[in-house]
Amino acid sequence: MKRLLAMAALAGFGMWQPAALALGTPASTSIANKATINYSVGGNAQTPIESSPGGNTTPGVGAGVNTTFVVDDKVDLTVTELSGAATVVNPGQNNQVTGFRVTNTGNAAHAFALASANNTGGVVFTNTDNTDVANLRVIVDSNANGTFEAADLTANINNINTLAADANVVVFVVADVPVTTTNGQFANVRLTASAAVNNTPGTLVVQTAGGDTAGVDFVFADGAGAGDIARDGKNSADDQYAVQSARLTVTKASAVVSDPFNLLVDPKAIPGAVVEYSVTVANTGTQNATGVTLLDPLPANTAFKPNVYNGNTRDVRITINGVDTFCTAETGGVDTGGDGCVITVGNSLQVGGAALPTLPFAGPTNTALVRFQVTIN
Amino acid sequence: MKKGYALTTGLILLALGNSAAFAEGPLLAANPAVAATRPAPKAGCIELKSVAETEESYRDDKGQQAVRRVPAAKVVPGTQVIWTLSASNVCAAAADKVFIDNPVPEHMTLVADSVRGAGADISFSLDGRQFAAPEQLRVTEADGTSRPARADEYTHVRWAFRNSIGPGQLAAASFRATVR
Repeated sequence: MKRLLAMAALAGFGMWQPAALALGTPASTSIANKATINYSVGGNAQTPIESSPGGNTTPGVGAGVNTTFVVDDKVDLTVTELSGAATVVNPGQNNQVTGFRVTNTGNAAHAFALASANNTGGVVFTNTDNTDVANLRVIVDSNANGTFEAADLTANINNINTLAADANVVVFVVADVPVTTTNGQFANVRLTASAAVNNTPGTLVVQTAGGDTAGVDFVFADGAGAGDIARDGKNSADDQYAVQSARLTVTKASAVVSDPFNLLVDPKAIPGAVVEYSVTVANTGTQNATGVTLLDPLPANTAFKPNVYNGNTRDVRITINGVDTFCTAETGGVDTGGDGCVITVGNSLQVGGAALPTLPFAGPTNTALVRFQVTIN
Repeated sequence: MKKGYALTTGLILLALGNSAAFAEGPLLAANPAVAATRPAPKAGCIELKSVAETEESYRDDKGQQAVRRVPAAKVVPGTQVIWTLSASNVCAAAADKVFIDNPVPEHMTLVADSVRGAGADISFSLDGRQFAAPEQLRVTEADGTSRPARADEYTHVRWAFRNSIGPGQLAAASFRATVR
């Protein structure tokens, strides 16, 4: 009893620290171990005997043989999406980036072959895939700073040559957004990494079949990814491009203002009548619309009627959120006044430039009402 | 007087004769020339064997899923290895006060409650010198608090066999450990 208590006290002498658990014994490490037996014969203590794999009877320290085996290569990796959100892009943009992280969670350094692809359908970040991006490429973060830069594009490293056990690297999937994509479309993309022979990304690792060999064997321990199964030496993850743009809707209405006989009272659309056109341009997209230009061909058998607004001094009335502005639409196709309005040589009313400001995508100023008048021939 | 001396001498001789150590004892060792040609230590009474195995599943003749042990194979971090010791008495005399000490293999973590040894009192050590039952092993943290040691903190395992191992008999012991 006394002896046990003494041991307990000594065990807590404070100098002993729990060993830190390593993150994965490196492949090709040899694990060796032997036991020692103490015994007596006829009351006399005998020289202890160490163990051996086949059985040892020779007494004395060093007479035994370690029982050993070699730790094999546990092939394991993860591919994870980096930002937790889609990359917002506009139609026609090039070199747009989605980011991923590839981590070697095995116990030996490996190369990793990388591939990117457009998904068909499927949901990422609660949005369903309904378009594709173009010119998909994989670009490894060449300077390991987690940011896509011109230097990465120039280096153009498309596979991971070597990644140590427990290390990770950022990988970018880069694509061009077709100009034909429209506001509100989503293009899901996938990055797949496959374990390869260290420094040789072109040679994928093959899992060692059959029994243990004397050398270092390969054991696949990876889980299933977005597009691959468990224990296939690969892992994958999805990301998304969210296409956003301005979207303009245009509606047109007309009303007869006057005719030569009824004047302003119930005027009819007869030769000599004046008709007012109201064109409403609204931005119903998710980005501001800049450089909006309205081009409205004047109807056949009509003539543009100038100077009907602002005390009969102006040709076109533009109303945004209850505020009026006016412009002069010169005939002949040249906007000599520089106010953004002109009648083109093709006989269309063009309103843009200084006459139509940026239309934001939300709020009462996202709609412009453009009014002009013609006389029926 | 002569008689007395002879008797005394005889007694001494008898007493020395009972000691097995006398035949190769101090008289021979004192002579360096003889000591150099001394034969190698003869074999002990126990043949001690240590085997490392892993379990693998396979389909038996009836097509059923079964498990068998194979020499440690395809061992990677996380693999559980079964270490089995066997101590066979290869002498004509019984071996007693038998105890086996096994260090927990490097790079491995002992699996709690996996130590087996029929007829043995099992104890553990945190330093390879003092062995005690799990309840007696405690660790002092950096902040001074004391707590029971965990199985993954043991550095050695000891099996102290309560009974002797007779000639031709075998004692077995085993434990499991996981590769870190």
